Amino acid sequence: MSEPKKVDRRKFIYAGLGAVALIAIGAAAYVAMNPPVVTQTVTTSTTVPTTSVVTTTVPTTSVVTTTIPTTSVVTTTTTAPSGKKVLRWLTTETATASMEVFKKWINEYTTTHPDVEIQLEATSWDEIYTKILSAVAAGTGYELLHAVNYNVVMLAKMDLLLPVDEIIKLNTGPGRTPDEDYFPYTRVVINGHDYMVPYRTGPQFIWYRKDLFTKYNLSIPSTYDELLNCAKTLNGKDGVYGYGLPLGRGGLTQELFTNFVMGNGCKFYVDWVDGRWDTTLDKSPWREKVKETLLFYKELMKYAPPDCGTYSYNEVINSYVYGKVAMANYAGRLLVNLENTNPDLGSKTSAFGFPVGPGWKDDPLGIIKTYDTMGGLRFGPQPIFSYGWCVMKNSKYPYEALDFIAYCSRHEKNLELWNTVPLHEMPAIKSQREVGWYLENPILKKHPDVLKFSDEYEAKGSYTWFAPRGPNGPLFPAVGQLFGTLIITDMVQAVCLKNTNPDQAIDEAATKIKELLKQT
Amino acid sequence: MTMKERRTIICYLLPLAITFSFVIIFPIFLNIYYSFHEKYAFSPIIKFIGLSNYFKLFSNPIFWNDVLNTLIYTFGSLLLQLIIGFCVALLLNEEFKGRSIARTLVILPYFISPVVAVGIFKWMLNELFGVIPQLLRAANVVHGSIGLLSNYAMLSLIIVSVWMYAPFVTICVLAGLQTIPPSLYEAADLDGASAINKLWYITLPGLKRIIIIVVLLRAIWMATKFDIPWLFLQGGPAGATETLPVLAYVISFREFNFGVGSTVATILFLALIAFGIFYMRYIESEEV
Repeated sequence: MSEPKKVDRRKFIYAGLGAVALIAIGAAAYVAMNPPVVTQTVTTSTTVPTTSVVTTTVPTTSVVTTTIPTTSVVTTTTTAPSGKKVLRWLTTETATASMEVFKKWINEYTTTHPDVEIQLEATSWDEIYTKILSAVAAGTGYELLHAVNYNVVMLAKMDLLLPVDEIIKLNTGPGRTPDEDYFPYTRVVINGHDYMVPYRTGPQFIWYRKDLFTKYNLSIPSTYDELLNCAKTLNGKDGVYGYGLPLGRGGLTQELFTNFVMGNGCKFYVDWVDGRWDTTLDKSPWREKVKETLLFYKELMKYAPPDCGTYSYNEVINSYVYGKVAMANYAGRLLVNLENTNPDLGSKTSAFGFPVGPGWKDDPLGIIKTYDTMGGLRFGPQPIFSYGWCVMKNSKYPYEALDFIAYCSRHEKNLELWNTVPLHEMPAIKSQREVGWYLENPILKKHPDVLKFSDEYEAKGSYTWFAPRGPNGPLFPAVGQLFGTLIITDMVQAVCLKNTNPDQAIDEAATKIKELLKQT
Repeated sequence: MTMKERRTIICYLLPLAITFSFVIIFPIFLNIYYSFHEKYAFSPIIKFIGLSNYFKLFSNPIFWNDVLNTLIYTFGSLLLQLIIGFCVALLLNEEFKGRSIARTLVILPYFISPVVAVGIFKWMLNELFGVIPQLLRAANVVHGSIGLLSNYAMLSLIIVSVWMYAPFVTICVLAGLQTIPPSLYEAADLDGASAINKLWYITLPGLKRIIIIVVLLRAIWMATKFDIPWLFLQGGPAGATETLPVLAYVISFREFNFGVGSTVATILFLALIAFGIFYMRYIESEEV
């Protein structure tokens, strides 16, 4: 008969400790997934906006019911967990000067609101859409979001954003309605509600060397052929390449290509057909126009720096600022960088609009035909990107965020921001432009010709990517998704860098867009 | 080992196992699960489609282009890391003045953030502003434009990776060199062995185990590397530096197609497991 086994005390204790550790980990995991909510009576001075139906007149946005798969949205309660209220703020305004202004606003606001903490987070334009939707999927929405108008459409249609009607009204000039006071396409209005508080808009141009144009007797180009001729003439002269062409796998490539395509009388890649969104890329006559533009882009590449296949925002700006290219496209930030880094070259710089292609006469939006008096030149349409504040519904403190936005979107606050990148950041509200405070900026004073051109260009005809049929047409919600992908960039790169047949590249891009549209 | 001892060990390992399961095992299986389904990032709908994602990938020339890129990137950078890391380690094993400073400087690249390293190299290789093209032209090595970031994109990417990760090989080899008894070299000197003979018959056999592990680890790490190819050129220009991890990212988080993106990741995962198994079996068979 064997002896009964004795229990070793030490081993028993160790086993017990191991079990306790296991239970502790399980408990910690449970708590992490189900944080306790302390209900307390909170007296707040925050004005909770009421949702009111705003009747919009011009531009009207007809809302089309699309089946958008909803994500699970955490219902926000109005009771606050104990402790400071942390507002997470995601921005793409990453210029050092802009970030300093934001920090200043945060310091000022939190001094008077000590129960609030604001965490500023920066990201790039190429990544923001992915970041926003990842936050949605994780159930941790941002209280404060800087977004571009075309991203906001999708977020609003997915019911992820709080309406901001009251702040829009607050910022509207006296005696005017929002429809009268905000520039076209700067607001995002869905079902009669605003979902973004625009704080800026900014034109886009092709910047050029006035001195070189004069030296080589060149006129401002307004067609594809004229632009090619200018680039060819200037290429290799005076140590410059003809054009700082963005051809990298980034946002600027698809921005410029889209601008050129629209100038060729094309639709914006998609259209509302038979009750659904479908791509126009592979359908006549749009296919032929895109093909023309691809071949034009490829031709322009001959007069660009050898590494242009890697060029995006930074490379294009630097290639112009350091005098390596005679022309380059970007918004006002290029001018600001130029004046800060190479002011002599700034004096020799001006801007013009995007050229039209041979197919411009089709002009489905009816914009190009209106350009009759821009110095006798007809340019392609000006895309309108407006940037604004949004509040995500599934964030923890959405109503506190609205209060901060109301604080920051006052005219004098916006002026601080506009002055960090003038011309790149312009008032989105007419009454604020009329006041003219932003015009006191020395860079704008130095370039009255550019400012005049910009105002005229914007007034003559602008469009936005999320309204492919113009102001009275349905809103395409998936612009952010489309430009978050690399479909257009890859199409352009395939033709220009891999010598892929344009028809093949177009077919591949169309297939991918159709795949994407299945999700919307 | 008694039952009680086993139970004690299990109790200690269980918390780690549970954590490991949630953080590593569960995502792997979720990935494999998604690869058999149609799943978009922001849609709750999941539809079983069998092997469709796999067929879609295998029939896509971009996938095969990226497989080739992954192989070139992995083994190209691995080979250079081994050669350079090994040679540097041999040098640093010698006695000379300032050796400790040299050792510190040599391994410094390993500790630099990839974002910083890639940013610096991008500007150094830039055709218009970069110091490297300027030096090559000044030295008459090349004439005119080179296009290091466009025409030699993969080579440039490999150079960046080698610069960053050769120090890891150096550290491992250097550590291994300390374990080789100096008496072996003394005996070899007495026998009149040349430097090559000493390297071939003493150093390399002494470092065999270290090199086996370093090759395995570096191969896996380079094959799964996402940050450097993405930061460098986002897989461009025109897919020249797009590897499978980059493809998985683009499909999952730019095209929002988790089904196909998971398929890419699963294929890479299975390929690396197969590589690891065959590699270790080959090594074991060699030793036998």
